[in-house]
Amino acid sequence: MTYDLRRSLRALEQDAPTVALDVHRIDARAAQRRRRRVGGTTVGAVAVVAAVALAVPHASWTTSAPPAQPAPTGVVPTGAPTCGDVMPATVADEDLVVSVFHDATPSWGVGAAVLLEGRGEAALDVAATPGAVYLVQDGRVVAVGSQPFGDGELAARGRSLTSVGIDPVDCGTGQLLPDGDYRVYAYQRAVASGMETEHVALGGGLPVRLADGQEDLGCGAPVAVPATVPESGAVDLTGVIVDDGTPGAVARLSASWQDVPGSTLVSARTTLAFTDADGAVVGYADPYVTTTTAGTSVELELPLAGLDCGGVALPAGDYGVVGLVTWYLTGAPAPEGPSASSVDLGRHAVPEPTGTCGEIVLGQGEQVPATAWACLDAATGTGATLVVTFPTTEGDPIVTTYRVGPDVDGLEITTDATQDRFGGPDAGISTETCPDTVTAAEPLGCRPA
Amino acid sequence: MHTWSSTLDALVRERGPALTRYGYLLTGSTADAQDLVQEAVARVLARKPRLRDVVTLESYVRRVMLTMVVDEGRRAQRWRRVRHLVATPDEVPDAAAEVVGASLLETALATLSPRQRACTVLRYVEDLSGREIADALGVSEGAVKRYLSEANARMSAVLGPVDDQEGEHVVIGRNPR
Repeated sequence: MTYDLRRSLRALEQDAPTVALDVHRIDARAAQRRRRRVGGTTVGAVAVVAAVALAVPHASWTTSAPPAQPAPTGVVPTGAPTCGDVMPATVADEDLVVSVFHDATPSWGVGAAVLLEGRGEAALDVAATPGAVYLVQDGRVVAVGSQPFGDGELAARGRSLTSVGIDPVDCGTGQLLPDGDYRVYAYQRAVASGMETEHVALGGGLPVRLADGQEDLGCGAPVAVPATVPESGAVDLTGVIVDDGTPGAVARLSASWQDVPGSTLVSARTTLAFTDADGAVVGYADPYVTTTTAGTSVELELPLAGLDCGGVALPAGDYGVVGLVTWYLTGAPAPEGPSASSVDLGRHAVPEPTGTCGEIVLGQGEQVPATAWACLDAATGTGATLVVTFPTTEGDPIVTTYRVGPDVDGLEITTDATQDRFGGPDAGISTETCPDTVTAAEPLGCRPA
Repeated sequence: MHTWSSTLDALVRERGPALTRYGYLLTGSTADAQDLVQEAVARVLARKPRLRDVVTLESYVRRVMLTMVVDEGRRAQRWRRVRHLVATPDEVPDAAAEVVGASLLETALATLSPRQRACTVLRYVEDLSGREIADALGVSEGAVKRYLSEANARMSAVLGPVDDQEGEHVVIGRNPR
C-alpha cells in the first residue's frame, strides 16, 4: 500500500496551526526596508549605548535561568572598539545583553559562544550590523573578528547562541599572537523593530589561554585525551566505521551526555584522529561543532578522510581511527580546559584517490548512500565525480553528475534530463554551482552556472 | 499611516490564516511560519508600496516566502574547516504504525532540504508542473525532478512507498484556499 502524499499534504495544510500576524510589526518592518531602499536608515537621536560586563558565572544555569547581571560600572562607549583600543568598562543595557561563554575550542584559533538576549518588548534587528568579537590582552584589543550573531532578528525576550571563532592574529602587526592569557569580548548593535532606537551592547571578559597549536591531541604523539572536568558531566561515546567497499567510508559516532541537566546548553566538537602503526597521531578529519541541549544526543557521520599533520590530504594507507569529542557546558564554571572523551574505532585503509566516487542508479524510493557523499567530501582537494541516475515517476532517468575538485567552488552539479519523455521542450542539460556547500549531501547556495 | 495600510489590513484579515498555514508547510514550525510570512509581506510592501489588490499581493508574498525558505540554506556557516550542526532531539518515527498521522508526515518533511521541501509543496499542494516549479525556484526542470526524486526517497524512508501519480497537469484555475 502506498502513501497518498498529495492528500496527506493538503490535509496537513488545512489542519496546520495558524498564528496571528502582527500588523504593526509588518508595517514597521516594511517602513524600515522602504527607508533603506530610498536612502539609508535614519537613526533616532536617542542612542542608548550600553554594555554589560559578564564574567563567566560560578554556578551552572539552564537556559531558563541566566545569571544575574552585575551593576553598571563604567563609561559608555560611543562605537565599536577597534584594534588597539582600550577595551571599555561596561554598562548594563535594559533591552540587549551580550554574554560570552566557553565553546569547544577549534584547533586553529579561539572559540567562544556568544549569547544575545533581548530583554525588551520589541524584536531587535541584529542583521543590519554584524557583531564583532575581540581578543583583549592587558586591557587592549589585539584581535578582531566580525560575523553575524544569530539569524537576523532577535525576538522580544528571545535568545540566540552563536559559536564564533577568532583568528589569533595580531590586528596591528598581522603576526600570530603569542601564547598567553587573553579575554574574549563581543559587541552587537541592534535596532528595535518599529522604532528608531538603537541599542548597543558589549559583553564578555571570558578568560582564555592561547597555547602552542591549540590541538586537543597533538601530532606525532599517541592520542592523549584531556581529563574530564567533573562539573561538565560525562559523555557516552560510541562509534563504528561503515565501509561497504564502495568509494568513500564514514565513521558513525553517537554522543550522549550524562549527569548534566537536560536543558543545559552544550557546545561540542567532534572529530576523528588518524594514527600510524605505532599509535602516533598523523592527521585529523574535519571537525563538527554542535550546539545542543545536554538532553539531546548527537549523531554524526564523519567521512574517513582528512588532513595530515602537514595540512595536506591524508595519503593512502592503513590507519588507526579514534573518535574524539570535546565539550564545554555553556554557563558552567570556567574549567581549565574542555572535557573530552574518545572511542577507538579500529583500523581503516584509506584508498588511493581514483577520481571517481562511482556511478549509482537509484530505484524509486532509494537514496544515495552516505559513503558516496563521503567519497566526494574527501576528494575536494584532489577532484572526483559521482554520477547518480534518479528515476522520474515514469521511470525515465535523470542523470546527475556531482563534481568536486580544486577548480570547483564548492560543488558542481550537472543535470541531464534529455531522456525524460515528459520533460517538456526545455528539457536538456543544465549545470549549477553550489559554493556554500559544506557536504555534498546537502548542496547549498546553488545557482545556474 | 502608510500607503499600504489598508491593503495590509485586508491581506492579514482575509489571507493571514492561509499564508501562515502555507508557511507551516514550508517550515514545519508555527513560529518560523509567522516570521516567514511577516518578513515576506514586509519585503513585498517595501518594493511595491502602492499595490492594492490583495490577490496579487498574496501571490507576490507566496513567491517571496519560497525564495526565503530556499535561501535559508545559503546561510550555512562556513567556519574554515569546521562544520556547524544543530542536532535535533531524538525522534524515532514508528514507520510501522497502523495510523499514519500528521506527526509522521511532518517527521518525513523534516528530513528534506529547503529545496526538496519547497519542490514537494509546490508539486503536491500547489499542483505546479515541473516547468512551473523550475520557474518559481529559478532552476532547471531537470533539477526539479531530481529534487522531487530525492524528496520522494527521503520521505519513503519514513512513510513507506509514496504514491506519486505524476503526469500532465492542466491547471484551469487556482482558487485561494
